[in-house]
Amino acid sequence: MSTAAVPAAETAVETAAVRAVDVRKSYGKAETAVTALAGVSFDVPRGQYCAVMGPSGSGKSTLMHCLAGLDRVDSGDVQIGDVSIVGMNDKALTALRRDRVGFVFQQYNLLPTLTAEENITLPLAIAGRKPDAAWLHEVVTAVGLGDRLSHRPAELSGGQQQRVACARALVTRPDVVFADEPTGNLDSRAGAEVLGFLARCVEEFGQTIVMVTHDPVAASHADRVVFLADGLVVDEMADPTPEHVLDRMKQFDVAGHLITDGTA
Amino acid sequence: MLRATFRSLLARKLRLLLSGVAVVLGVAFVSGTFVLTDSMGRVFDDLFANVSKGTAVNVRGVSGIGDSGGDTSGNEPVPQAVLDAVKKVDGVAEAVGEVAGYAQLVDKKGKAVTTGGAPTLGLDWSVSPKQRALTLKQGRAPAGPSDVAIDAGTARKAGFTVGDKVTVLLKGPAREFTVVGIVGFGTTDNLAGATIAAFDLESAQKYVGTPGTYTDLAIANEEGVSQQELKKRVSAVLPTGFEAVTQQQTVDEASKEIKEGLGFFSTALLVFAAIALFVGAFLIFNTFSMLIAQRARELALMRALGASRRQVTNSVLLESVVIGVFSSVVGFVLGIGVARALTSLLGALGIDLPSGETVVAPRTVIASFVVGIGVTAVAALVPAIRASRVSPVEAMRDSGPAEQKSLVTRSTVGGVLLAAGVGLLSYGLADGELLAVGLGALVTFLGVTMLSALIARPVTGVLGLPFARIGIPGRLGRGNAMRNPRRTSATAAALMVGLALVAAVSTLGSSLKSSTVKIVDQSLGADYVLRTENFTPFSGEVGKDLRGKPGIASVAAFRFGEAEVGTDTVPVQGVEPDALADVLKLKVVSGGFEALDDGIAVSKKAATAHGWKVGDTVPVTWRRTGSHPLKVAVIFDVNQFAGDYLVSGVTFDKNTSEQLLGVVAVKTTADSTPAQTRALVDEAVKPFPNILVQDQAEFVKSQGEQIDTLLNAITGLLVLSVLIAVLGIINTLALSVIERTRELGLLRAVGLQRRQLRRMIRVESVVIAVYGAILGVLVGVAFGWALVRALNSEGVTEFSLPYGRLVQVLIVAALAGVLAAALPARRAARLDVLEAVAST
Repeated sequence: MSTAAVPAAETAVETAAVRAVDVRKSYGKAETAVTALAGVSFDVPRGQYCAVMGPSGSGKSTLMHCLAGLDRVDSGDVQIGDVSIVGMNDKALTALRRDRVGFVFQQYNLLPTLTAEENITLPLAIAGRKPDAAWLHEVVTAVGLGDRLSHRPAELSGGQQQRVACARALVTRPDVVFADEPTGNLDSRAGAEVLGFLARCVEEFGQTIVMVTHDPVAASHADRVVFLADGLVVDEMADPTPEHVLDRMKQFDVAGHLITDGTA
Repeated sequence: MLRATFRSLLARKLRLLLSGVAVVLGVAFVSGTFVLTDSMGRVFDDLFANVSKGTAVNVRGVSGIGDSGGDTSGNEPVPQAVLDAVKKVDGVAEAVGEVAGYAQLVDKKGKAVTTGGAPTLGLDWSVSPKQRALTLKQGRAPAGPSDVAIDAGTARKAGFTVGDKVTVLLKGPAREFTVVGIVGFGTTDNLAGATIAAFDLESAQKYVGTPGTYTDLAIANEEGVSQQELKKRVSAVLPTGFEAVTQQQTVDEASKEIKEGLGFFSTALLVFAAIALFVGAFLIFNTFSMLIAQRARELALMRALGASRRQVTNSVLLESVVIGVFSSVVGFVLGIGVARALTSLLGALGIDLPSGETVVAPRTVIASFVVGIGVTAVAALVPAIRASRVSPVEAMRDSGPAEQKSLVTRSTVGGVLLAAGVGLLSYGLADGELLAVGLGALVTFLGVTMLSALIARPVTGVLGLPFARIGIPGRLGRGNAMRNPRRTSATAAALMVGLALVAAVSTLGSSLKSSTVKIVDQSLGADYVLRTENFTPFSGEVGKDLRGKPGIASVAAFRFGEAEVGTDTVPVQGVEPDALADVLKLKVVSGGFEALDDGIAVSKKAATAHGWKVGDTVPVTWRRTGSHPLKVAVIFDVNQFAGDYLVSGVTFDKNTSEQLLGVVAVKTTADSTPAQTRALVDEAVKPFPNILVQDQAEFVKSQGEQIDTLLNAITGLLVLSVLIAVLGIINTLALSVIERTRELGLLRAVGLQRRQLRRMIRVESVVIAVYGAILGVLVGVAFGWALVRALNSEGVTEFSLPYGRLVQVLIVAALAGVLAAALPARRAARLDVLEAVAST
């Protein structure tokens, strides 16, 4: 077991946007139970663009779901900002997702009956709040959708749809945006646009982003990459490049297990 | 392919169960109706055959018009001399006279024992134990002028026991009798709601018949003489005007009468069953359409793997047939239960049906299955063909259900159907062809349904606006309702059908009520109308005492009857000619009422139709007396109360046997006060508790209430089809929830609360339901308008909208929407966010 992850959890205490403390999660009943998270601890400081990588079955999606309040942990603690979300009821969790968390999913990210603008302001509408016009304008400009706001999703390209989804995630100025393989369904050019946009959000607006991906190129846009294997944080890398990430990923064998202890 | 079909059926149990329920209910209605009426028919057959077992031949007056349907009380009575002659015929073991007529019982509170329109029979306690239909259950047989035996059903209902005094209203003055016995009719306590009062023969002749005569004769044969042979021998001694018929014929005539009544009843019920099935077909159609849209990729994959179009079509049709078979079995069995439940319901209402075995005719089984399977398969046909058109390429596409095609074909077909439906409907209404009316309505509904897809989006958009203003759940719900106009319109259309019929009959009812006000105002001159609750006939004594009383100008006693004029059997009324002008506002076209004493008055309508002028001879044939042509005395302008044919009371009484009245109309003098004359009239009818006294306003009001009662009964029967339509909304919403799982997950992920999600689905449901109700109200009012127009010549001259009822319909629809949303909303709210987001 790697010890590299532990110091990460103990530093940057004050400014964490998201914090996981010894999060454990398994699925299924006693004998057939599959451990997805075997005690994950790590922090994402405010304003950081953090990528979570790992082979299939490493638990990276489960981790994101638990951090975002979509799934419940078996034990351990998860905090968004300064609030522990473990033990919240559905209503409180829903409100938390609405007000303090943004989401970008891989696909089918938008409501077909709403226009691009209505999709963007959906979380505000759900909360019954008026969008802040200046901020909305800023977000919309940043994603470059100014002239397409009245279009419905069916009239937008895949990349445009994903940029609408990004704008929606930002519109509530959440503590953190979770992106689950945001480029998984896009061609490389559209993907690059979305990734570039996410990076700009961090630079310009100081947005915290946690992105789950298996694409080294996508991960290289992040400030930091956290590697997961067998439900544990096994390594991390600051200022990643695609080559370094790819090299690191090659150390996982076909079944997704760690071949050697991390040396990167 | 076959295995794939069954797999797919099993995978969608709940959906198919819901659509199957619609068919189950419709089939249960069909099989219940048949079982009920068949069982009742059988019971009556047995009853009539049993009660007259000892009789071989009946003798009766020849009916001038048609056969008498087992009831000979309208025919010429048989005099004693004929009985005496028949007794001497060789082969007659026994001949007795029988008497039947009017005897209305009055209960202990002084109220007439009501029968809901069934006859109030007065009979003789037959002198022959062998041929007696009545059986003594308690006490003794009536033997003196103040004895009466009453049927056990009435005794129970009105609380009479042996030894009680009972007042009986007769065609002559009312009399008080002592209940000496409780009787049954054959093995039953009660004859389908009729009341029975049995007297000894002499009293029966005196009070309900005519002294010295019989309604008919019952003759038993000696051993070795057949019914036919005895009939021949008896006929030989009968004077003209009398006939002998075998007991078999009497039974057949009586059953035929009952069966015609049951046939009408069963047709009425089957119409409602058909409506329910029609609505059910919408549900099936919609369910299959949605399932196929959702399965497009699966079907495309099958096509890509080499399944032919025909195989795809057949696999979908096979699914529908399996559902049809299943639903038919369940519906058929349920129908037997429905029949039993209806029988006990009728029993609870005081119509004690003789109990008997449950008759399940082969026809019932066949009809249930043909209807159940047929409706399901036909409804699934279009979706099945559509399924076969799914192109194999769609298997590779990554999108959800395919984008919608244009509505051009749909609107063309819809327009043609609507035009055809309206055409059929107007033809049917103009010519009184009920089948064309029904078919026209059906085709119109289909046309409107197809066309409604065109306006579904804007209309649901407008309907959803108030909800959209309130918050995002409303806005999303509105968007979902607008999203798929075909689906929305098909779902709404199912609700439209039931509600349109409710709106149509309400419009007709409301127009009838308005028209009644006008008819009474324009046609009725009388100040008081005396009648019984169900317009059943009553004693000829009613109103006699009023004649010549201070403040009373004239009293007209209307006898209601029928006679054959030319080749048609038509209603004819008898009334005193001198009082006629006072009580009815009749406009004379030609001639004068002075000559009515031995002539006939005909309406302008009848005169024009037959080309009669004053002085022409009208061929009139009476049941009792046969052909008696009458000269046209006067032609009058159409008047709803006068009908088409009027004769003098004297002429009427001479040619009919009952000597009962239908309505007595009273005109007061100009110088009298209502308070004074009302007291006078009330006093005069005191001995007749079955008589209602009504002034014009009360008469109009009671007519309105009667219309309302009928309306409510029809509306009640339409509730089933509305319920099925609600099932349809549930089904559509449930399927939509499944189809939009991913969206729902996304909404929950970005913070939509469960409560908000439920509200979103509720809004969609309410918008669809109200859309259906609006279509229903529009189509229904149009139908109502057409009906009113068609009935214009029958006196329905006013068109009036039942605003209250129409608003009610809309409110009920909205509530139905809320109700229908409950389950799908619960299901949607319970979706696991993660699974929903991850689903494809």
